Amino acid sequence: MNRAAFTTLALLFLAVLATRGWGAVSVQSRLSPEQVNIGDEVSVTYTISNGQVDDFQLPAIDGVTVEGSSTSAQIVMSGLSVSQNFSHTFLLVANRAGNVIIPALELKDSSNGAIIKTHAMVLHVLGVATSPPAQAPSMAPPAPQSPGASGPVVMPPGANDADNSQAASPDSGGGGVPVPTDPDGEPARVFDQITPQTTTAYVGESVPLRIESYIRADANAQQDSLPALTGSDFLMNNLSLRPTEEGVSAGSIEYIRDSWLTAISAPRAGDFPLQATRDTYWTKSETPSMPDDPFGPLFGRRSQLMHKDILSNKLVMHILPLPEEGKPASFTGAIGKFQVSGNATPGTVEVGDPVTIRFTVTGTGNFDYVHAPALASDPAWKSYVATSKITYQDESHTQAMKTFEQAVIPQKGGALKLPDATFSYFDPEAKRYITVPVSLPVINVTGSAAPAPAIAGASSSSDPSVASAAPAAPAPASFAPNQLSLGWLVPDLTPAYKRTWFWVVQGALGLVIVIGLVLSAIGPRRDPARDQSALRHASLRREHEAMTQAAQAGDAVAFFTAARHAVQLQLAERWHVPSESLNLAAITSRDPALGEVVAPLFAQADDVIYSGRAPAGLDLNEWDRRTREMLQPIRT
Amino acid sequence: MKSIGLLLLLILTAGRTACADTASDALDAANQAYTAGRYEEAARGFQELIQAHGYSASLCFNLANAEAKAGHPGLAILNYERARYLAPGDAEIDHNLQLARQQAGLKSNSLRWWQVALRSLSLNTWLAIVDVWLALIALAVLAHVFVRRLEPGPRRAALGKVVKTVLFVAIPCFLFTSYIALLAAPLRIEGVVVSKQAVLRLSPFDSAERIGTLPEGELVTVEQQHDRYLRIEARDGRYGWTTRPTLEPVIAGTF
Repeated sequence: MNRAAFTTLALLFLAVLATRGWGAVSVQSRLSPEQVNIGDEVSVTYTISNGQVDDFQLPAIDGVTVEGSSTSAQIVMSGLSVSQNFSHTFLLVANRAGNVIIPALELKDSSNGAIIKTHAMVLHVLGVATSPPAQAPSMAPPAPQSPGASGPVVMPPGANDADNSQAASPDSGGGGVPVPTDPDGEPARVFDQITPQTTTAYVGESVPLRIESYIRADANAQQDSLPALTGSDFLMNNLSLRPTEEGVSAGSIEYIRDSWLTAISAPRAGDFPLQATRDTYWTKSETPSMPDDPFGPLFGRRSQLMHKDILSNKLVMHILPLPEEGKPASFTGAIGKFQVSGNATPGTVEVGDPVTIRFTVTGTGNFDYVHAPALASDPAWKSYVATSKITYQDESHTQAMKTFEQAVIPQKGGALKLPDATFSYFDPEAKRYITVPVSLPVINVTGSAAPAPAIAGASSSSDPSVASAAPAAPAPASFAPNQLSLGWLVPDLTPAYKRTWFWVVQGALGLVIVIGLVLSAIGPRRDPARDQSALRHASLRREHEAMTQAAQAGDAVAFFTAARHAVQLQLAERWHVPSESLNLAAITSRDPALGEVVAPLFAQADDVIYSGRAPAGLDLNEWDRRTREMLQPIRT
Repeated sequence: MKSIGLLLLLILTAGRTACADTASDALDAANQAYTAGRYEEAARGFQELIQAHGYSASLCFNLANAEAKAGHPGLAILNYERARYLAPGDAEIDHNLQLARQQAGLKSNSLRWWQVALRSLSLNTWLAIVDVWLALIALAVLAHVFVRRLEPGPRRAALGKVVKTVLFVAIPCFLFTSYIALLAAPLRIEGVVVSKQAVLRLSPFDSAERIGTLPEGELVTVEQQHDRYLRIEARDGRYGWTTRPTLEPVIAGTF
């Protein structure tokens, strides 16, 4: 790169810094790992972006001891934004079992005095004494305890497995995770770690289990499969397809950790080994074949795909049988700690109408075995199978809220107490069965026998007006009897509109309409002679009407004008000539006999029209009759 | 020639009468089994009648009665729904359907007044009425073409008035009955839970998480199909995937 180019890039960088500046102050806190044994180390890292806290110290925290701290700084460029991060890491050691709260902190930014707030975090410290009771049969040799751990028996990979080439390593300096070594003596490229909440449990109890898969940051490995348990001694809940992925330090080695939280349960009593496995693929880099090749570091490496099943640490789980003594009749296998409540709606119903009881069970345990609280047998109520719905509240599916809806139907009237409901479960901490009564309200039931349900067209039975209008003692509900005729048979229930013929008929009718509309729009071919004739017919109708009206009104001029014109029109239609050309001479020349017939009419018409008045004694009605008689032979 | 035709007519009539007699005898036998309390036998009899002769509101109703008495609420409600589909305004069908739902712990699904009015005729009847109006419109349009070709005169004027009147009445009636048929059409695919319980799962796989159950007899809408799973929505808004054998379609063959 020449000097000019370097100078240009430097100026650009400065320009970006000048224009963008530093981003807003923020802080991220991280706890790694989130679950350890007593005596294990855990690191807490606070990463402050675009801010700085001098002399950052953790306050005293109950449950952990601060063993050391370190601070680092780096500048991060993301696109055009630049930020400066300060990381403060504290090394803690857990000194008691249980949940340890790392409190929220308020830090003061040294540069501008602003207050930076962190979130609280919870560290789960295992180590509760869980020595198996005397009655638990031991089916496996006792497993070696991990140093400092009195709870889960954490065994390093390969400790009890001659086939596992990964040797156990005492190195557990990285956040409490024991890092095994590969055959070459290096820290393992890939290893898995399982941590159950306890190693002693009862048959059917759900035990939360954390599964962690570590891949060394420089191992260039890839894992796409989900871990699974070896053997068939335990049932495991489904794992989420996307694990929680984060970078962690184990000793001085950086790892990428995938972690899942699930739960396991054992179907039978005894001591059983617990171990997870995961298919692993990774590429192993080789040195360049030509050491002098300047491009070797970039292109000369040969990658080799390798495959191996990675086994986790191995534990022994002590599974105890549930005691037979004191087992309630309503116990369905629920183990854990549960709270139960119930209600019922509606508060007032008619005899025969359903009441819905809703039970809610919350808590921690094996919710697959949590069934609806048992209802005591009560002749006043008829009960039906409950339906359920579950909402899980944690990733391991051991904390949840399960709701049940159960319909019951009153068989008689009055203020009826709902049947007694009880819920039984086994508390593994108290080591005894617990039966919880569920209080349910009293239901006001009207009527004394099951009424007939609403008939189609009537209001529904929930309508108060129907209830008040119902007879005091309605007949018990019964099915309407069978019908004695076959009725109108159809080959199947498919609606007509789903059949091809229906749409063929629609199309044909539509086509007919379209063709008709087209033909109407085009219309008949125009014929001038036909049009002339139509006009003459119309004129003839008008003259007939004028004759009638004039005769009735005694208007001789109008009458004879119309009568003469009617004769001309009729003859014009007959001879296909213009009506104006047909005077008496023309008519006589064409048909002398007809000329004699119409001559009196034409003469009288001329006389009346030219004189403008009618002669005395002229009978227009008589002339009207004679004219129509005159027109008849002309028409034929 | 006439005698051959008469013979064919006699053979056809005789065959049809014999068929009707057989069906009638089978119906009587199934009804007698029902009256005698042999509900399973009665249900089989009605089912065989349907398979042999087709569906009718009466047969579906009788089959539903037999299933209800035999302790199969899911199949009873399914056949009441089928009977109601064929005869929507029948009060006895609705009475027994609501009673069966009540005994199965389900809420009433009686029709509202406007639904009863809408379903006073079956869907196919509404569609037939739509076709009648459409045919009238087609005839009127053709008649209009014919009338325009008539000689001008009183006859043409009278026929023109008739055509216009028919069109004036038929077009609004066609549009109205088409809308009614659209409202009455079962555009949703419906099914009834016929097993003791339908397990709802989050995904269409056996290993998928259970998210609830539906009781026997529940009427649901089928929205999607995937292999042997159906995605359904219940009347209370819950939805999920359940296996095909747990449901029977109200209109046989729709899924």
